[in-house]
Amino acid sequence: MKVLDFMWAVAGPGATRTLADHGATVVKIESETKPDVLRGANPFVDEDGDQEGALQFHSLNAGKLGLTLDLGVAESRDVVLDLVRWADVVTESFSPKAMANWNLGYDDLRAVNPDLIMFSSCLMGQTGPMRLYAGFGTMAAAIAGFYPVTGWPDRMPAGPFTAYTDYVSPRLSVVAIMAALDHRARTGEGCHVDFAQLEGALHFLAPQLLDQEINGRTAGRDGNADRMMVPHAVYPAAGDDRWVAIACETDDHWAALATTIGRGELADLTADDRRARIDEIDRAIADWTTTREAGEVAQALQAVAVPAHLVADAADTVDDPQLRHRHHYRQVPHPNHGTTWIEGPNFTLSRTPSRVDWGGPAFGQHNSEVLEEILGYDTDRIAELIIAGAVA
Amino acid sequence: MLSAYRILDLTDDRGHLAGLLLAQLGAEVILAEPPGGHRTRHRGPWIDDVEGADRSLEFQAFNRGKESVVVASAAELASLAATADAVIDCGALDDAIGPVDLDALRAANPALVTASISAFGGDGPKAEWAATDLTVAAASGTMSLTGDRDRPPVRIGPPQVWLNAGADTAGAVLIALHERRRSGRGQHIDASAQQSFADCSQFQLTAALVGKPSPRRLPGAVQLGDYLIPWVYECADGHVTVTFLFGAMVGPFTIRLLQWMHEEGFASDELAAVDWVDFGAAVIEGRQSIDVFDRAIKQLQAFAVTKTKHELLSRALDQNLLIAPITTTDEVMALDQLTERDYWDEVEIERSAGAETVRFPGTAPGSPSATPPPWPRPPPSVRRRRRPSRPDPGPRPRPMGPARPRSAPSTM
Repeated sequence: MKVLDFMWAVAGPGATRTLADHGATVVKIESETKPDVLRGANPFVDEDGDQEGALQFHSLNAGKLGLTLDLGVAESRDVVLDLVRWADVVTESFSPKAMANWNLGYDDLRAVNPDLIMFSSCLMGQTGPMRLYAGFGTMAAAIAGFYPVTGWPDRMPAGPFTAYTDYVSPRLSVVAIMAALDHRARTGEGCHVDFAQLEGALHFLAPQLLDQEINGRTAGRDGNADRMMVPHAVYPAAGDDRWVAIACETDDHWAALATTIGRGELADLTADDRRARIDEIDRAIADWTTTREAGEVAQALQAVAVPAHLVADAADTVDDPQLRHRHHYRQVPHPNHGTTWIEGPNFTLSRTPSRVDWGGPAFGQHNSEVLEEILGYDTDRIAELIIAGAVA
Repeated sequence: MLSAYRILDLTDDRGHLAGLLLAQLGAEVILAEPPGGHRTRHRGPWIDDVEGADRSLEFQAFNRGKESVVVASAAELASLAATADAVIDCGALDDAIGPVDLDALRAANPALVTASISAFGGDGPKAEWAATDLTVAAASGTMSLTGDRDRPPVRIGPPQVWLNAGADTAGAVLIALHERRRSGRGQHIDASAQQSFADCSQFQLTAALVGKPSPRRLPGAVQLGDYLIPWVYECADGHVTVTFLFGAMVGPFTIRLLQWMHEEGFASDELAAVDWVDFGAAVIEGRQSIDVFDRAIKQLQAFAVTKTKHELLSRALDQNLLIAPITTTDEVMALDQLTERDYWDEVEIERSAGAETVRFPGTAPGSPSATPPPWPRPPPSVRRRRRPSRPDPGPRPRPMGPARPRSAPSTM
């Protein structure tokens, strides 16, 4: 599978990273004059803080081939069109007018590669009155409705902190791209996929949207409370700002929890009883957790099969024996920095496991590989491109 | 697009979305349920607030377009798996028919792709840990970044971790089916909800890999050094988010917003004249005081409460400002953008007063121009299952314990 990747920032490149992990050849087009915005984003692999060291850039672009190409230079166009002829899939995540302005819209690309799959990702989609609304994933998360449902009812909406739709989108994008590829393999037809990050994310609030549509109930926020499970909260643990999450999904969970915290007399309470006495129950649990280490609380409750986990901060996740076992964080080689860190794939395939051999490409790292080996250009042609300023 | 595939979906709320995404793209998705139905059928909210196995909105949301089959034994399941292209499991049938042996299903049907969705993955020291959405959100690190600092960290209200893992799994299934075109062979996918959700941390967690302190949680704000910059602002009819920062990337937006505020008498000449692109450097070099930014934020707070979400969004669209309304579910349902894109699927469901067409989240993921997905199809009813089941779903099934993926391979 061959991918020509114009995507940048977070919501797009996460998808092509997954494809690269599983064997796709992904050529990432980047311009030195307008680098991927993530190259400037914290944290960096070392104190240099240079644009080759941004960890987000590495995680989202690991295993891709980097080609620096200035799309503002006329000579670049032939390079792009040659890559379009080579590619199975072209991906882009600009504002909807950008590719067309470069005369690289779907019709332009299809003219040189009739069964091409083009994947376009933007906040609102390629059509509609808000199509040109550009911005960050935090903004799509607000418009999709994740803010009003996150936080405490007596406080301002806290928001999910992250640019949440930026992280939901890559997963859905992989589905869309792979389905389009499958369709092409069967029918020979390419297509243009118009992926709106807002629309994908709304599936993650589907029950709340149906509750609105059918019952007229507008979703609000209620801390960590759950409709079914009780108790279901985050409790203080020993230490500064340390917490542990505990959830009782069944009466058995509750009985085991009540016994463990030395309140066996409450073990027979039903869920309705527990809900009616939730303040008393939360206090009893907090009295027990607050003098204990969060990890110790989780271990003690897991020993009696009660769902519990310390609220892991960044350092905890790096130390988490489970994430370590799964190689969630891993080091890969980097030409300037020796090694860099990336996050691993979220799933493993048993027979054809993913493979990540390098981090996000350094500027121009794979220029010769792409121009010589993929496109078969000779040295004269490459020299012309460099002289013209198309290739750095 | 995927009509060639038959997917056997064994999941409850810990995996429903994977099958939904594949069904939306045309795959035949058979939802295998235990007698009495998946636990999702027994969780509210309900259609018209009336409880019933066909009335759970969570079940409806994630299972339309699937067919439902009651599976009462491992042998029945094996016969279904013999004709499937992929099986997606999360342990939801374990209590009813015992742990599903995915290796045996693949041995019997070597072209079969199997997938396990579990809280922590199929192996490792926490593989057997009891887990729910809340505890996986805690384990993933993402929760530590969300909420008011004087209260406990919070999760995103509606459960999210299994949806992220389910979406990852749908993609993984298609990757494995793509590989199968070459090899003719299936394989096993081992998906970890903890990893899928850790991936949503905006990479704040990776700070710890390079010796930086763990970022603290944020209540509708962003942190710049020790400085908390509000992200959420009250407006006339609710709240909006405003990306109100300085620097090369966002400074130009801030300049445009302050010019608007200035026009309306909310920012002094001095504030409207500040070069917000250069502001950070100016503060560091002593040419500017951070107090100027504080004053700008206070002016923005005063300005925002005089405007409605609609006014702010209209101006944002017109002038390219980084303002987004904090949209509630009623407002989402009314968004012109979604209506004009024909986003919603009209689906007929049984309501208390009879059949009625309602809107469900629609075309996802993406809307390929070549072949529109075969929608809408309503969610399966317990009455429309292929095989006989008790007319009454009977007592509520005992909620399932944690996912216990079986026969998962070791990590790569």
